Amino acid sequence: MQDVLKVEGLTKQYEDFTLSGISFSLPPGYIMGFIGANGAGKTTTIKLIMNLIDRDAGSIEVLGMDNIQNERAVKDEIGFVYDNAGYYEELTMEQMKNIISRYYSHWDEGAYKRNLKRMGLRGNKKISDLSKGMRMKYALALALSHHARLLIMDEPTSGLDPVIRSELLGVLQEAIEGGDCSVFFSTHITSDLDKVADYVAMIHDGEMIFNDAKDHLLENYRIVKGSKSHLERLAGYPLIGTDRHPHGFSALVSDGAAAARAAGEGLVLERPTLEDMMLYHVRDAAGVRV
Amino acid sequence: MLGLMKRDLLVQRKRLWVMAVYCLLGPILFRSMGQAALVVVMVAVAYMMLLTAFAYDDKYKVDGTFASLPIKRESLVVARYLEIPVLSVTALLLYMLVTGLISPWIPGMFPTEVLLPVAAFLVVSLMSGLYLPIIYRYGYVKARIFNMVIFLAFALIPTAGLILGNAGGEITPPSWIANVSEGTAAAVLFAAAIVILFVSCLISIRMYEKRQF
Repeated sequence: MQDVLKVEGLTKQYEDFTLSGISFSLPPGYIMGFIGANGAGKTTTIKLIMNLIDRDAGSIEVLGMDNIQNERAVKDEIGFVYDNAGYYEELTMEQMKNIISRYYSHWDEGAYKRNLKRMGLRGNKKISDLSKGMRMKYALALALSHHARLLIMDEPTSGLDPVIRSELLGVLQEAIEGGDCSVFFSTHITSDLDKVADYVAMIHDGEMIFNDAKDHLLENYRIVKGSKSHLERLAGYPLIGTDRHPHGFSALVSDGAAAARAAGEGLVLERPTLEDMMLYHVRDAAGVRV
Repeated sequence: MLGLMKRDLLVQRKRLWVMAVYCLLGPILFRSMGQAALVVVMVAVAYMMLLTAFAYDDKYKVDGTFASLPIKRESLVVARYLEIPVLSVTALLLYMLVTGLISPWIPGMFPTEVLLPVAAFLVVSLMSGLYLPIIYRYGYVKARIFNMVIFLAFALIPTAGLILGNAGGEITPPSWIANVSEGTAAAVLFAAAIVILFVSCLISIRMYEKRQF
């Protein structure tokens, strides 16, 4: 089945930051979480997908279409939700919707009204009167009202309280239920992805660290904790973000079973959360290696 | 395109009364200029309304939102340029209405020749034509310093006077205009305004297509 989003060798160079040839793909009907610390390159990647900035190399395809050559057709298929999405605050949600909706060929007024109702919003309210959470809900209502095949969300849950975050995640899960829509969701709040993501890609300092099915990652990755002798037996084994302490060490490994075989008895294996995986990888990239 | 133009009107609808005040007070405050007060009014209304549209875009950071919609960047630029004649004509009609109504008390302000409105439109086109590519290249905030320069230049140089030879409120066309019919002169000035806007628009499109958000 054709990927909804396919990114290959995507490169963007700035004076002080380089996005270094990242690649990933997203099949239809799934949610991909795109994680990384602030400044890792998440927003740059999203801006490149939306053609808001020029790429230096690589390719981006949305539903098999190049995102630059078929820019309008691609954007017609994308619903976007940005952390800092700008709307004319003088206007009501209804007025802003009227401005935006005319550009989508599949705009569905009924779906928009249902989405507003589902999210507890009243269209006649002024945008300036919306809280941050309500603005996000509004952005999501717009994004879900033109039968988008791909939702691109840049830090949509950042700064929101747990209740609203949970509501938004619920809406996302509903959105992909039909199998026609996929979600590319950047965040540094990894607990959101524990709930909804099917795939997780992590970026750090502009480089792709991992990109896999979430279940596969959680099934295989382990935090290993052991003594100095365990650490010696693991010499040469790819440990990630090793944290040494007087009595031993802890580290992340991509294959817990293999690490246990290499280290021998007594090695403690713990199932990591996505946050653990992110933290160990960031520590590893910072140069804390065995 | 029409939707993009209506957008600016909708966003600025609460400022329309300011436009009306300019049209009402302009002929009174600048009555010493005679009919040439139209230039001031048209610039105050059309040019300033246009810039306010950019100011709102910047204030609410909507550029990124519109660049993410399935709209050509070219259309966003062209819509703004099409607003220039629309705003100019609106300002002219309001000016004519006001000067017509106040003519018993303040006579001589109602534009009686086609040349003056066209010259005013040329001034608006020239100012917009110079400034808009800079906005599209650098963004509204960074470009503001250029606006100051352009505005001062046009305020200090009595542009309309240079074109029309206006001295002491009496319209004395310069020799090149005096040698042709008023219709021909107006057509030349109008064509010049359109060419300025057209060239400026092409430059702005180029600038905006390169813009990084």
